[in-house]
Amino acid sequence: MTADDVIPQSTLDTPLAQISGLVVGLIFLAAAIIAIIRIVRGPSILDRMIATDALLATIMCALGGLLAFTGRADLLPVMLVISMFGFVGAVGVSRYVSRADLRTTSRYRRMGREDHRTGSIGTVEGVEPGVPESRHGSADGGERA
Amino acid sequence: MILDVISALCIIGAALMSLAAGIGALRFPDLLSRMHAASKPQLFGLVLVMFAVGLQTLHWGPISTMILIVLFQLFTVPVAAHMIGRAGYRTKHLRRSMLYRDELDDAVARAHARDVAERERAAAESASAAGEQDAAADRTTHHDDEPDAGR
Repeated sequence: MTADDVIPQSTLDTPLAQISGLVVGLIFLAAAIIAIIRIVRGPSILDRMIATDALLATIMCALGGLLAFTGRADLLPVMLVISMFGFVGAVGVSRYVSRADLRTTSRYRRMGREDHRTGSIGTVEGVEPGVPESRHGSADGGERA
Repeated sequence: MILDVISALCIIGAALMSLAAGIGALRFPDLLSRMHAASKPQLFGLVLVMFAVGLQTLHWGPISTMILIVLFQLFTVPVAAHMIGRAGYRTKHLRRSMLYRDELDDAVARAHARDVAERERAAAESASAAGEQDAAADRTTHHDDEPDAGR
């Protein structure tokens, strides 16, 4: 039994299904457009990442709705892959923003470098452990983006 | 017929939840409140949609796949939200005036005090030690380098 036999094809034949499908499609479209507006306008990269997650969740729900309305069973693996790997972008961006290489640069602090004030990292409460100057520019610029 | 109506209502509910998440992400003033609003449809809307699809198919093949999808979302959504929230807290992307209470503040203050004490100790050691011992200090184990205060 293939997947085409399991899910009946083309259930968009009744007026109820057509009207509700149209309404659902318009609502999903509005949600996606609003999330894209936040992605464009977001003041920081974390806001953009949150809006990207919302957009991805909207896309997943829309794919599920399409699957329910039309019976396209080939959309199930797509949703599976999105649900597995949708959080990779958020994790990568948040690790980039939160300067997770503090753990590797703290050895410079232990070596007793005198230039603690150079190359500041924006940590909580103004703690500024020293980092090499070469890494400073790009990371600080990404934090403000 | 009644199953079609119920599944249509579920999908409309999920669509409204996605719309609410978009509006919340657009209108809320803060990173944490935006995250709170935007993470609503990621699981509950998906569960609603999956319920609707399950009502439409009524077979175990797609339903098991959908259970797997919901399970993966259940694992990955808290990880992403936690990491984004932690990055936002560390880089001060939150408005202090909008918080009633910051429970992380005490832990951060303790970690800061420990950090300052450790740095003063390291500075004193390096002031007394010779120059070539810095390379030896570089190879020591750092079990307490970055105090993991959960911030």
